[in-house]
Amino acid sequence: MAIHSVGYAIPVTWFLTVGAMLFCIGLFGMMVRRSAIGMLLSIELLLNAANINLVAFGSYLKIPVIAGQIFTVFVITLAAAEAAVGLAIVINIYRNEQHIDADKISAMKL
Amino acid sequence: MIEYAWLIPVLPVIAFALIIAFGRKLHGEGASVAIGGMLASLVISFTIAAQWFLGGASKLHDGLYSVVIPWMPVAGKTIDMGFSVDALTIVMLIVVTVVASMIMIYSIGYMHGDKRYPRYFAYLSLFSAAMLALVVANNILLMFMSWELVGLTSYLLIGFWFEKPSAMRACKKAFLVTRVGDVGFLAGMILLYLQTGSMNLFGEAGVFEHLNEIQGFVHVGPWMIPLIALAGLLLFCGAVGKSAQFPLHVWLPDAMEGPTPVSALIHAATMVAAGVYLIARMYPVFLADTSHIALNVVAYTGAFTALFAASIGIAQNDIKRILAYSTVSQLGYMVMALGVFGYAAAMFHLMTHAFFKAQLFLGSGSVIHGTGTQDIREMGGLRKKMPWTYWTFLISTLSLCGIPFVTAGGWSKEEILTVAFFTNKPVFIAAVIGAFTTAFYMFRLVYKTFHGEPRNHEIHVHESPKVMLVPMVVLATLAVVAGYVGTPFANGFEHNLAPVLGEHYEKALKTALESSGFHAGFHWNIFWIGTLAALSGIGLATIIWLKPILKIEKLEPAFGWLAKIVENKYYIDEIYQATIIRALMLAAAMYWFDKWVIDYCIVNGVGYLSLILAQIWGWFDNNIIDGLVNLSGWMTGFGGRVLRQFQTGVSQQYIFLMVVALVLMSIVFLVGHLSEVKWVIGFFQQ
Amino acid sequence: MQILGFYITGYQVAFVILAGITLASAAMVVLLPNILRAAMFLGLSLFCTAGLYALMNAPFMAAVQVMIYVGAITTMIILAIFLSNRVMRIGFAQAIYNPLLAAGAAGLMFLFLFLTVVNSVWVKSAVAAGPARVGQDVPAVAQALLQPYVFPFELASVILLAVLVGAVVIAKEDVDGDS
Repeated sequence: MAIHSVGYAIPVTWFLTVGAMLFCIGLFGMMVRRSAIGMLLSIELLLNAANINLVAFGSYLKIPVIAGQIFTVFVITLAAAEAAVGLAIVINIYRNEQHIDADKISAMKL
Repeated sequence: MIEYAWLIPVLPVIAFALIIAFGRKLHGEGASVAIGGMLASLVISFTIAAQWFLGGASKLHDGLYSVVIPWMPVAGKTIDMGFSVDALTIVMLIVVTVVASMIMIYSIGYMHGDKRYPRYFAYLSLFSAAMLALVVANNILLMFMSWELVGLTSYLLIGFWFEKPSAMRACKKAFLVTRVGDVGFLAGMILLYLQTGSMNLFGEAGVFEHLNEIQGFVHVGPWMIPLIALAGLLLFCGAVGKSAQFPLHVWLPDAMEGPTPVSALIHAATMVAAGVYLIARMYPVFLADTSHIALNVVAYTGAFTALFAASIGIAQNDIKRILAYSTVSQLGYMVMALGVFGYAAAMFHLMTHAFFKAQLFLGSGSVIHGTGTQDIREMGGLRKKMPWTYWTFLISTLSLCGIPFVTAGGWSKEEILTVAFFTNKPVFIAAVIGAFTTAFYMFRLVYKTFHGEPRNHEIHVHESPKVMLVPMVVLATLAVVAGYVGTPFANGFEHNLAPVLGEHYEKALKTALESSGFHAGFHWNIFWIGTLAALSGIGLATIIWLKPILKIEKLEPAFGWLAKIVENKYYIDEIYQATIIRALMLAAAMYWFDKWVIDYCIVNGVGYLSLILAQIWGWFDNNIIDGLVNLSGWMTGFGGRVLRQFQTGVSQQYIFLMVVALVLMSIVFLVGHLSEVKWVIGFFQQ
Repeated sequence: MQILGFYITGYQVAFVILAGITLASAAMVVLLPNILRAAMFLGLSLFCTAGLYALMNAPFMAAVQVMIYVGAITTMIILAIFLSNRVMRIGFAQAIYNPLLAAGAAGLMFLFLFLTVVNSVWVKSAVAAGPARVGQDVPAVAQALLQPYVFPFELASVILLAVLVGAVVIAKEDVDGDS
């Protein structure tokens, strides 16, 4: 019994390429976005790109492993955590400084 | 009853949860619940002890009662948790429960009217629970977790009055400094787990059964250190942090910012003893190392700490700080005893020390409560106004000084000296000098506080309430009678404790002791050396402070500079500030680095250094030096200016630089494999 | 189906459409000046990623993706934007870097990643031609989470608890006085 759905005719490289593209779009966003929320959005893209790779490898390996999906669950957990704390910080900064421009926040700079 | 040993740490946890949940609504605003939980644990502990030592349960269970249940599966293996009861555990259980319940009762009076009164008892319960869990744990991971919980609650209790900036700083310092040692413990734990494949201490698959299989070596420079010695050293790191041994002792005196009963419980009797307990529990690891490298390090660290801290104690003026340094010094004694194979002696001293030092702290708390100050220069003549405090304090002081035959401290100190005398002469000498110094500074404290005339008449002294006096009397009694379980004539303590190590390591310990010519019993020569050291210390203190034959003013010119160094604790804190902490700040702040270190320290420093060099080596050509100075100054300045460009604080820029660096690395990689690269074709191939 | 001589499966069509929407809306996320719209497009992008998971025979991940990412995280971000609404108009029009420079860096990064994917020997030797048919479904995930991975699973719950407390503490207004 074949354990892989070969009939789809989608090689793993396609998924990996989509992941790589998403990753680079996220990187681009991290570099050009000025506001902290914009940077958080880009971080979500980056994490999503990593998730695609994880699930793809877990599923496409000749001996499939469930670890890919499990790791993704944890990444999503951490993404939620990061978004919650990040947004809390953003709201706090906004309340204190009336803006959320990441490059202007320098109270912690020595 | 022994099956219910797990209840001992659980009951205080329940008390903690109840107090946190209901607070002031509880009877006695939470204090009754905390004390009730603790007393229940105390009763269980004593019942177990009675069954174990008197009722023959020890023989029934072959010296070790251990229960293991599976805890969590990790990577194909199961980590267990469980509790074990043996003689060592029982000793610790009794010490912790007795001291903790006495201190909780005392706190009713001491903390009366505090605005966070229930929370104080909640923390105290949680601390006791963590400490008791550490004691009954039969698994390194569980031990480590309790160990960290102990550290956390210690942090909360030191910073209990967090409105005081000094308390805030002290609790942070205590937490961070002990954490340095904890990293060692963690690393040691991982090393043992990797080598033996088990977290359990006992049993067929346990760590202790497989210690002989650890055969590897680690190369450190020109030396080869056996892995097992490394494991011992790493575990010892944890003990150094928690038990405030030499390089990491700095947190303990500062921790005196907490409420005094906390100092008595955590920083005298239990948490700081946890480090000693850790070494004792893991003693087979140290004995399995036949080269005894780790044990020697333990011995010398302990001996040095004992001497070093005692000498600092002489010049302090804060009553609690004197006791804190005394604690560091006595912990050094215990660690040293472990290092020279005095396994039972160290645990014996741990027990007696817990009683008399807790009493001393409670006594100092009573003094602070009655006078409102901690500075012994403002006290004096308290003997008549606080008779109960005075007499209990004096008894504990005599016990700490090691007055033979009468006090508990006398017996335990005697035993440590005996072991050290046979196995390690330098350590023995340090121990004797330490005994002398201890007697000297403790009687300085007693004379300045309780004798003479009142120095500050604005202070209205009053004796403490009964609820504070009763625990002090109980502990002072224990500071005398606890010693009779382990006299050298009938040493029930050692007799019961030795089998804890297991047959193999008990034999190893015996061999190590016998090869040094040690024979147990009472030795008159050692007895006289120890007693004379203590008595001459007391005598010297008497002729300086009680009957001033030797005027302190006359000593000033001769010893003033020494006193200043000692008073400033050998500048250890300043050295740390100047080296480690500053180095961390350096790494954090390039700008600061550029401005101060490069321009100020290095350029000026090199210039200054070269000036000295030029003076000393006068023949050396000035031009060359100047040239070098300018060059090095210019080089470092230039490097700083270049690097500063990258430290903008703009995160987008950091990401950009990261990506650029990654791209550059990948280009380097690609150039190496250019011929093998298939550009697009592979996308459609499988 | 046969197009221009290539034999094309419906799965491939679905993949191209889903991946196309994912990438296009991801581009919108980073390009749109209006941050609220960008967040909406993030939701779309993540939703289509769920479709990609379904194509990989990972139904659990698809469901989790929709529920947590699209349902929770995106909603939370949009709420945060509402709470700090003065920043809605700031996009990369005021970017710190020349966007072309950033695009160049990101593009080179993609080139390297793509070449790695295409040339990796490891990918070829260890990977099958299609996604696994068995062992990737919800019961398998449940089994894995509660047996070999139960410890990290518990740890994740601890982290979430800590985050819950932390986020509340950070975001709540400073109130003078001690509890």
